[in-house]
Amino acid sequence: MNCESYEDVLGDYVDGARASGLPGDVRLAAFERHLAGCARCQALVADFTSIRGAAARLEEHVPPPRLWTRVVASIAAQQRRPWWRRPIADAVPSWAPVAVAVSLALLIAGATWLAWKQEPAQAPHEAVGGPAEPEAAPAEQPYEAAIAGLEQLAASQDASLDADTRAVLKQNLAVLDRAISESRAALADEPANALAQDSLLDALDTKVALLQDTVALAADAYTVSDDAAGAAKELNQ
Amino acid sequence: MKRARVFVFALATVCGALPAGAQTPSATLGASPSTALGAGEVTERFSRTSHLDANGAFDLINLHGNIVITAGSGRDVTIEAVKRVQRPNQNAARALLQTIDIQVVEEANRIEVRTSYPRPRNFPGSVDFTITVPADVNVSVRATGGGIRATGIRVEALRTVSGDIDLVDASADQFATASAVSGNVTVRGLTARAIQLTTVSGNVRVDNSRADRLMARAVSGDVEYAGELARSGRYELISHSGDVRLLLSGSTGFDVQANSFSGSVQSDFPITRRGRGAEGTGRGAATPRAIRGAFGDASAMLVLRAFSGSISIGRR
Amino acid sequence: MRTADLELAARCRAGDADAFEELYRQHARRLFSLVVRMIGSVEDAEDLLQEVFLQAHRKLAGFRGESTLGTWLYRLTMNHCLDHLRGRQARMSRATDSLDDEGTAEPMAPAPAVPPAISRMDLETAIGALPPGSRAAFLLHDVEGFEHREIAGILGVSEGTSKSQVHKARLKLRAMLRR
Repeated sequence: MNCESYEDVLGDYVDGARASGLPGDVRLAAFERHLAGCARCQALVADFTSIRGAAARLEEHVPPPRLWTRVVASIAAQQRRPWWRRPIADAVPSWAPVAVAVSLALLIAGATWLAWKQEPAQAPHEAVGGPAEPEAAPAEQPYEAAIAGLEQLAASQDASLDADTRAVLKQNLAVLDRAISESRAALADEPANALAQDSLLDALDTKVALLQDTVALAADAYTVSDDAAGAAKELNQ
Repeated sequence: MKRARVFVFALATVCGALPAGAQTPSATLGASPSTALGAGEVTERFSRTSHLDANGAFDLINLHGNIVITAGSGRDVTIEAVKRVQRPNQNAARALLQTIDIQVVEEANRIEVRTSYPRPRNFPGSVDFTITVPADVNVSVRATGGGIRATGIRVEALRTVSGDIDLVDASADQFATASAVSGNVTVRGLTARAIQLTTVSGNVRVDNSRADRLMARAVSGDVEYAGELARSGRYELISHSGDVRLLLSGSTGFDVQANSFSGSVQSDFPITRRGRGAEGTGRGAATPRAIRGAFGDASAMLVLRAFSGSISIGRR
Repeated sequence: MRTADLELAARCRAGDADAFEELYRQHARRLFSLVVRMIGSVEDAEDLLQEVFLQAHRKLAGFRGESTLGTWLYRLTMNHCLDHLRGRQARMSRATDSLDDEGTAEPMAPAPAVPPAISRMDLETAIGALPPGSRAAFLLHDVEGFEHREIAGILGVSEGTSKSQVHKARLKLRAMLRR
């Protein structure tokens, strides 16, 4: 009765394997016979089964939406150009503004993250302005998600940019937020007004682009100071 | 050699402190020791010459400082830079100067120049660049602060946070983009397949340029397009609180959708209106908030949008 | 399956943003959980996974389809995790262990030792105390549900090694979770 010799099939047994009379199951069948009379192995099987069951039920850690934006930003920083820029002919549908192609990846990212969340969607972080803001229309939601993600990311990288630059960026985000709330207010008055809709989406689009650039700038600044660590890693590949 | 250096030193002290960001004469002295200019500003020059073959790439990433980049004949790439730090204590200033690093990486027909400093958050000064590149090399510049002036180059992207961008007589392979956050973007004589010009606070001005697609956008600032329209070109000019102005020459017809939420919209061209209120053609309608219609053979497409600013389509 | 992978890889290489996002969307969630448990920190996991995808984007040029794209990505991720842990261990100046770690075997009780309902926190803590090699195998097998054959491909070991690592992990966890 050598329990150790059955170590590997014990594992298979715990995983659910049972002898079914096929020639390959010889060792498994032998183990099952052994198991019938071995308290020690029975205890192991019981405990391993509990452990395996508990392990399978462990909750997922959900990556935050900003992770995708960070990946995109770091790739862009590495390539020094918008990596999602595709050949113009394909990327830009007939009359779409050129800027849409650039922001498209972020819209997709925003929508994707909204779709992934299986829990009822947490209210997207309302980044813009004061208490009397009209509700974000459905068309805005991918923007909202992208903006929230980018803002978190930009905030976490706040340390990388100098005070003057941060001040300019902050001022101009305020300019954009004013444009966004003016457009929203106009839209609240005239929901069918296509221009108000377009103005709002323009402003959101510009805000996304600005945050995106901020993130890329800050990522660049970090890249520099982490250069030594980065180089060491590269050498190990 | 020694005499020349002494001369420059003397001249420099006579001239006194240069305001940060002033244009520097491009002398080719090579790296010289820190030079003191007036009250607590120290500078150091940097110089490097290299070359790029046809269709190479040149990338510059700078923190603060002005950048002038010009296309030259031949295959040389010349990089002149002046590092500047201003501190009451000159020794402290000089020490900080030493920490500003200009990295030049060259590989596979690509040159990347990058200004760096151990803690970018407290970047102590500025680096001004004067650069020449071959005319067929793709140029990208990104600056955190400072103006960018580029002439004759093949441009990919010029970006700055605060500073003006001036792009003159340039071209692009496919897509050219110039963007500022707080600053004017002015483009003259640009030829590209698609152009994107944006600023948040500042004006965008396009003059005598040619593209199949143009997008120019300002949030608080004016957008102006002067010149001809390309046949079957598509132009999108957008401002939130500034005006949108076209000053057209040539005879290309266009289809226009112009809308302002609270500003006026006007055209010097006779527009055959369509949609609501399509009855009659008229010159320069009073002050409608929208114009939708066609002029001539409607081959180019114009989308003009302002929120609180006005829109005007005029002749140059 | 392989041709779909090769196609996706080719599209990513060509700069197709949708393709790379497709890759991310397919794997990021499970990878993130894996990394959090491997290296024991949610913040570090974010940084690490960002590194992984950045590198993946670069290295896709070299993907030849010898394994599936998923296995390839998991392998990249595990390498990063193990590097991270080795680095941390080196800093804490403990002896680095190879994948085939020989920990002392716990005496085996002849009766079930762990409670039938194991608390999640206890299990997570216990997993964090496993040596890297067996932790990796356990996470891939019992938590993520990979087969030994796949784990062998991801960790670069034999199927037999994978099985014995999982066995060792279960033994250690049993000892730690004993009531």
